[in-house]
This record gives sequence, structure tokens and C-alpha cells, in this order.
Amino acid sequence: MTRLEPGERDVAMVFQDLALFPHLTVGENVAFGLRARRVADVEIAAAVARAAEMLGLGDLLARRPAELSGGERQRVALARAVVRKPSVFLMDEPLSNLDAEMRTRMRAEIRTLQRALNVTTVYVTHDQLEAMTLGDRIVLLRGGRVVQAGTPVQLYDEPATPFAARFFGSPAMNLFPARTLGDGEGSLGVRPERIRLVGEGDGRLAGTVELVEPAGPDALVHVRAHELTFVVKTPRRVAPRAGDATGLDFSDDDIHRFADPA
Amino acid sequence: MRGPRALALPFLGGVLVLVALPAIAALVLAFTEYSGVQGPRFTGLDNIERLVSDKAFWRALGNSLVYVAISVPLRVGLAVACALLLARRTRGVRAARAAVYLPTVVPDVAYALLWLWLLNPLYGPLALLGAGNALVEPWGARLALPVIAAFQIGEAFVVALAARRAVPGPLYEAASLEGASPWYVTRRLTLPLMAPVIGVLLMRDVVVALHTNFVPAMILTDGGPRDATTYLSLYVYRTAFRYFRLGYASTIALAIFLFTALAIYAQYRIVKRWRAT
Repeated sequence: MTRLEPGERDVAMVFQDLALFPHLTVGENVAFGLRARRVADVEIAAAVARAAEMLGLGDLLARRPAELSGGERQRVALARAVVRKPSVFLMDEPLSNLDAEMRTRMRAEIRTLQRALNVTTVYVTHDQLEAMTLGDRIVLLRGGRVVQAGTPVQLYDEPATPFAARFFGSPAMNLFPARTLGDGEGSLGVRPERIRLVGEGDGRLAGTVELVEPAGPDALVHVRAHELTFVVKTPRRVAPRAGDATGLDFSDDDIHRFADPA
Repeated sequence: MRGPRALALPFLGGVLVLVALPAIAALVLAFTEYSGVQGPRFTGLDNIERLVSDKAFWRALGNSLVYVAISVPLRVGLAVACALLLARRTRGVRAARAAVYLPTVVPDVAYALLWLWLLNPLYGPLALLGAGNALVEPWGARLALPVIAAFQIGEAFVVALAARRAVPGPLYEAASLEGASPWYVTRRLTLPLMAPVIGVLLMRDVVVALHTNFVPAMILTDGGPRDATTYLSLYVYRTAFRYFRLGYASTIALAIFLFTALAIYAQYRIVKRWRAT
């Protein structure tokens, strides 16, 4: 693969800034690769029509990229990638230039499209939610090195390092140096959604509520216990108030142990 | 005027004294008879009547058009080609870019004298290589002068280089992943995206060509052989400063101005349509 010319690799790429050809119409953009490969005009027309149909671009074929919205441009970039039926798709943060709502919609569309075409897709993202929702397998990289590789569930349930633990899940896992809890070297963690708030005097730890952040149906409760601050995710209806004394409880299964410091 | 605008004052002063005022004077003198010794005498449309029937004028116009037709595509084509070749940051590219620009810095008269030596039919180095008749035959000279001018393309080169480097890199990555050959990329991506700039360069070069052919015609060929390189610029100069018909020379200058404006407008229309497709 490395020795092949880019054009011979049978790879189609969706670029972060899309890299649409500004002087060509949507149709010509989609057809670019086929024309460059001297595919017959009839076949090109059919392939472009098919890709346009798939991505809902039928009415936009004669427009130029500058005349399209962000989401439409995104679709053109995808159409240009799928039209050639490559063996691999590369997507380099394709949704990073879209607003939040459009990002959610396009994320679902990309997933549907990928399922329909059944083509191996390498998708680069900084967004843990995109990684979790889109990926069959996730490779977590840090500074160019693989931190952990596995299914989204594996990475969430069994993070290999504190970095992986913090990256997946929102809000991030509570992580503390193990020393502070008198439990050897390395670090310990527990996810905010796995901690239960129980009555004063019950549970594993006793603490005081420092801050309550409402977050839609949930509330993020910051609890000070043993000179550590735990974030707890709990339904807003049952959230305590700042200043309340509370107990914290979680099962042994929910404690993550890491050899690395937090 | 204060601040940065004041910095333009010396330039604007120069334009006023050296360009604007003479241009207005020429516009007035175009309708007079003026030898420079006696005061100008208003003659109405006499000069324009004379111009229309002046065979030397039409021949000079034809010579100028031939020059423009060869010189402008050659110069702009070379400038763009050099810009495409030297756009990448490779070893020695800075030196190569400087080399492309260098002939443009040579003063025009020195540059013309250099070519006079190079093309000397008896002992010039290029004559030894078979170009001895370049300035002796009419068509030799008609071709030689645009070729000589084709080395002084520094400004157009720099502008084309900037235009080429303004094309976003990811477009080339996308094109290469789509399997486009270098020639296909040049034809379908680079040149169309540079087209607006190339259009401006072409228009500018028409103006440049009509003016700058004066020095080589004066020094290398003196308008010959057989008037083949008597361009409008040289014809105006001779009429004014050899025959001292300053009024009529102004009329010719006015005609050059109108032809130039016409050529620019025609190109503007063509480029506009080219960009629209």
C-alpha cells in the first residue's frame, strides 16, 4: 500500500475541510475521479446519478460548492467518495466544520451509508461520542501511539489507562492517585454514572455536596469526601442541594484500577 | 492627508507631473499643429484625417499587433509555466525563482545592447548557432523581438506564482487520491483556478507589450529591417522628436490609447465569459 501512488490505492477520502473543487459544479465534483480515470461518459452519468440519489443531491448537481450549505457540501464530499466504489474510505474529521445539530444528523447518515455500502471505513475524530456511536472498533491514539484498541463497549467498560478512561464517557471518570486512598501505587477511578448518592452515614464514603450542576434530565453533583472531589451523575429530581451531607456508594466491580498515575 | 495615505503623495505627485499632465496636454495637442519651436496652432480634425490616410501609421499598427500577438501569449505562457514548475518548495527552488526574475532587473537599454551583441550577424554567439539573420530578415526581427522580451517576465511570474500557491493543498491531495494524472490536474484544477489571475496578466501584458517594444526597436533594429519593427511606440517617437510634429504625434498617441482600451475591453469580455463557464 505504502509504495503505491495515491491514485492506485483504491481509497476514497473525505477531507476535514472537504476539499471540494470550487470551480466545478456538484456533478463535476462527484464525477472528477471517474473522468480522471477515463471512465466512459455513460457510466459516469449513471454512477453520478446513483451517488446523488443516495445522498439526496439530485437538485443540486448544477450548483457550485459556494452556493451550498455546510451540510450539502458535506454530502457532496461523501458523494465524491462513494461514487467510485473504493475498497476503503478514509474520513478525516469530516463533521468538524458543522454545527451541533447538523453534526448529529450527518453522523447518522454516514452510519446508514456505511452500512448500506458495506465498505471498510477508517474514521478519524476527536469527538468521543462520534467514535462511540460510529465505530465498530476504536483505536485510541495519543501522541501517535496506540493507547488501546477494541470495541466501543470494551473501551468504555475496560479502559486500559487513565487517558482512555477520561476520553470516553461524559462527564469524565473520577480518577484519583491510589496513594491518597491507601491502596498502593497507580490510580483508581469510578464513573460518575456508577456512583449512587445514599443517605448520610450509609455507603462507602461520607461527604458534603459542594456544587450541583443541572444538565437536562440529570444533575452533576460534586461531592467532597476524604479531601477528594467526586462528580456524581444522578437524576435531577433526586439531586441534593449544596451543603447537604450525603453518602457515596458504588460496587467493587465499578472501581477501575490503573498502573499509571491519574 | 495624514498617516499611511500621505506616503502615497510622492508617487501621486510623480504620476501627476509625469503622466496625468502630459496625457491631458497630448489630448489637447492632438488637435493642433505644433513643432515645439512656434506655439501650437489649432487645426481641428486635420490630424485625424491625416492619420486615417497615413500608410506608415497603419503599417506601424499592424507591426504592433503582430508583436502583441506573439509576445503576450509567449510571455504570459512562460511566466505561468515557470510558476507551475517552481511552485513547490524543493531544493534550489529559491535560486531558480531568482534566476527567472533576474533578467527583469536589467535596465532595458543595457538588456537591448546585450542582445545586439548576442545577435550580431558577424560575430554574435547566437549567430554562430544559426540565428545570424534574426535582425536582418523582416520576419526574423518580428519573431526575435518578442522572444527577447520573453525573458523579462519577472512581475508576471511572481503574480502567477502567488496565484498558484493560493490554490489550497488539500485540493491536490483529493485530486491525486482520485487518480488524476499531473497533466489532468493542471488542466482541470490548477489552470481554471488561476484563470482570473491569468486573465489580468494577459490584459496587463498587452499594455506592457505596446509600450516596452520601443527600446528594442530603437536600439536593436531601428524599426527595420524594411520597417518590420516600426511599432506604434517608435513611430510616435520619430514623429515627435525626429520630425518635430508634436501635434500629429499626440494624435497617434491618442489612437494607441484607444486601441489599447479596445483590446483590454475585448479581453475583459472574453475572460469574463471564460470564468462563467
